Amino acid sequence: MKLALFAFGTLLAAFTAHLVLWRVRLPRLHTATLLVVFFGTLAAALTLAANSPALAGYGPSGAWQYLLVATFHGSLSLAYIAFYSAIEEDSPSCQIVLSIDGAGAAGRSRAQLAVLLDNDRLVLSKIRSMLRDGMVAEEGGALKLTAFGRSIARAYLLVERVFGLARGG
Amino acid sequence: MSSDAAATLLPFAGLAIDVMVQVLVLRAGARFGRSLAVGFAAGAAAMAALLCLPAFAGSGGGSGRAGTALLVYGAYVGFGYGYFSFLNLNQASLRVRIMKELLAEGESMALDDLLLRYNAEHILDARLDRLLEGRQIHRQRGVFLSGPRSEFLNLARLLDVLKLVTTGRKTCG
Repeated sequence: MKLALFAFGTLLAAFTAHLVLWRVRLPRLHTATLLVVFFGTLAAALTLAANSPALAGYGPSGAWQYLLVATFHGSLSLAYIAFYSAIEEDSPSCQIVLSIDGAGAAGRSRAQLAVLLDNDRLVLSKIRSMLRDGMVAEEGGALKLTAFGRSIARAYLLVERVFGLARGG
Repeated sequence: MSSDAAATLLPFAGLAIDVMVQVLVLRAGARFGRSLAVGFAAGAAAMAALLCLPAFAGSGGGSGRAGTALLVYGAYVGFGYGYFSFLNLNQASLRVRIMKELLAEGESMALDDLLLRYNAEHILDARLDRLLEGRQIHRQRGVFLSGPRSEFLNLARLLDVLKLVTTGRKTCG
């Protein structure tokens, strides 16, 4: 149980660091900063556990326990970072259900919902982020896949075929 | 193999079972959400069965065993969510759809043509269809109303609270 306490404590410390940092100053590159915060905290905690007599008995002992703590912390950190994009961006589906809920028994018409979702927020903001992240490039009014974007597209096409997934929207 | 080694490898085994069962269930005709739930449950059940064996209990006696189980399941939850995110992006991510569209069109497309295919109207219709199919909203007298199911609304509210906690702002809804 002490090992679990150590692991949960490390994860909590990382999350607290993330919250404090976000309140002090929102970083420009959210994903990169989250990776640094969460995995930096893990590295610091494991180093401390290996070298501090005060943490003897709480920290991992043996390579496999180090790996178990790292697996636990790593998987939940990456899950949170993936989840964070849902927190950060205004999901169209979330905006729709919240708006409908807010309207109560009167409900919302399609026209009212269309006002919430405009091209700039929904589509152009995504294209701008793809340009920024190097997935596409703009050439004479056209969007062209970069090598990076091509790899991602092919990977997802493969997933679609293997899993027999229907296209969404 | 030591029990610590076996316990460390267990979340990966759970993920493998999750993926295999999810694919089988999806291909058998189940809905996407149901296949994910069944796969996740199968992986969790397999891990529970294995954790009962001494070989997978980890070191440290009774409370150590409970602690090991917490870490194993915690890691598995992370893997399960990561897997769901990866698959969900294929369906819900506009960026992924645009990249696949560009690939299908010889890797390049005029921005105006792209906006004809992917615009707010199409996205609104697709999202409404998906919410209606999942019974998260329903249509009555020409307007959309909440329910009968509320899982997505609860998720949206949770995201709103988390957004407020982390960034200090709420969803524009």
